[in-house]
Amino acid sequence: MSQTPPAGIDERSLDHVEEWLADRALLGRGDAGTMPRRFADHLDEGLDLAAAALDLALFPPREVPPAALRARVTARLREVAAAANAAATEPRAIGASSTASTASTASTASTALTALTGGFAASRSGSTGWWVAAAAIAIALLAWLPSLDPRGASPKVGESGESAIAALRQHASTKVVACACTDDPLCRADKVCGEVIWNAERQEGFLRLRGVAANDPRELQYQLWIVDSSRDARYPVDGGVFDVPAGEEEILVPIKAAVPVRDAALFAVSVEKPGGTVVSERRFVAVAPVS
Amino acid sequence: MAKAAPEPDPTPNEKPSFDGPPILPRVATGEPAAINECYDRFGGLVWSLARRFCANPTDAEDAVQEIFIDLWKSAERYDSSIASETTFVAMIARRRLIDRNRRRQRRPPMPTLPEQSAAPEESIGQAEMSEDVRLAAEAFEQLRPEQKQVLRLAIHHGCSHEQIATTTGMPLGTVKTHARRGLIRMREILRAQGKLVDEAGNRPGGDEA
Repeated sequence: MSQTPPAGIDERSLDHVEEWLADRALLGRGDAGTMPRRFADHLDEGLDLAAAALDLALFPPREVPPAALRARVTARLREVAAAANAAATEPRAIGASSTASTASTASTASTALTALTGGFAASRSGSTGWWVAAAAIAIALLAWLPSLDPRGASPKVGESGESAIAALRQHASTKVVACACTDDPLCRADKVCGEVIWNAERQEGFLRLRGVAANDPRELQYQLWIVDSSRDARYPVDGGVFDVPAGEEEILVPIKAAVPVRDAALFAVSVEKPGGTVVSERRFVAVAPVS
Repeated sequence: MAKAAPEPDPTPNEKPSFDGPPILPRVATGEPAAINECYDRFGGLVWSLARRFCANPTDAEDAVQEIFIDLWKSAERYDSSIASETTFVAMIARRRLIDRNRRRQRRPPMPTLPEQSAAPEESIGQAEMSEDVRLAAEAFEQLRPEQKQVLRLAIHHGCSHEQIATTTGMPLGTVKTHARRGLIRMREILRAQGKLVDEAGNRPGGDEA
């Protein structure tokens, strides 16, 4: 290493960091494994930029994109920009308190979901298929999910959230659907891990989630998605990013969809990078199909 | 957000061009008009990268969309004192494309092995490329042949270290060393030219970014 190590890091550690950075630049983040946080200040993008510049130098871009792609990309970007502008919508967990998970059997809806995700990864010819299939599979899960009475008893949660839910339940059009845990290790509940209370007329709702692991917001966050059957299935609606605080077995998350949801077919909770995303990584921890 | 102006007709038959006034700062502020301009500026670049990494055009179209969304979200991180917009966009695009390939466990077919000391496969359109890209080409020529061979396979074809070792017959450890040292050398040369700064904002010459 010809470089003098910067302050705060010895030469051996610098070698380790450089190796990690080179792997990231050439192979992507996943292959690079993890890096201790004490090196966080040294993880600059110099090697990524060098790789990018070399890529362009060796293989100059010469292809012209299809004309139709321009309209598709710019339209999607306008949606993203509009959603970002409208997003004081990020929901926060409110009124949480501990309660034990009551489900007893172990298994999961997520075998199907996992297979589904794998199928998508292997086949692909459009993200459309995934969400459509996800909705279909999720609806099939209703067969083993217990039905919930929209006006039935609620798990114990904080008063502020509970009173809001109680008010929402007074509306006949309010739907309550069970939320199913997937195989993801972050969801530690058995079959049922909560419920979604949603009123389409009022565009209001809550996600009650139990047994989902606390997250470090610096590393990952949970994100709620809503598949709206009246919209293009490729673009589920962002329902907001939220955290599960340490020590909270149950949380209540107000749903604030980024755009109006006319016909909710499926609610899903995914694990995303901090701040959430507009294109899900499709790592789901819970799904709630609407019958 | 204000309604965007009507879109002008695309110019599909023109060769991609990346020159022009800075656009990413406008993207970072969410300026609606910047959406079309950003695509017009970098659509060819992103598409070209996507076609190289993706198995088919449909896949590439999805990737392009994801890349532009990433770019929209990352534009505020762009620092013109560190790299050109072109290189920054290519970095964002490469990350997404590599990540997609990893997730799908489906890399492009292994290439035929190029000559060890082969020159770049295509001439470099210097007139249309940024200064740091031109310098990267020059820096590449200063690398050892083995480093060039490994980096070419890794960067162009997205080959893993293991694939490169199999293709070249080099031991895996040697492949990793060539990849790392070659890339670090590239970065050093670019920094020496004042085209990249380190994490502290310093250039080797000591001038602040």
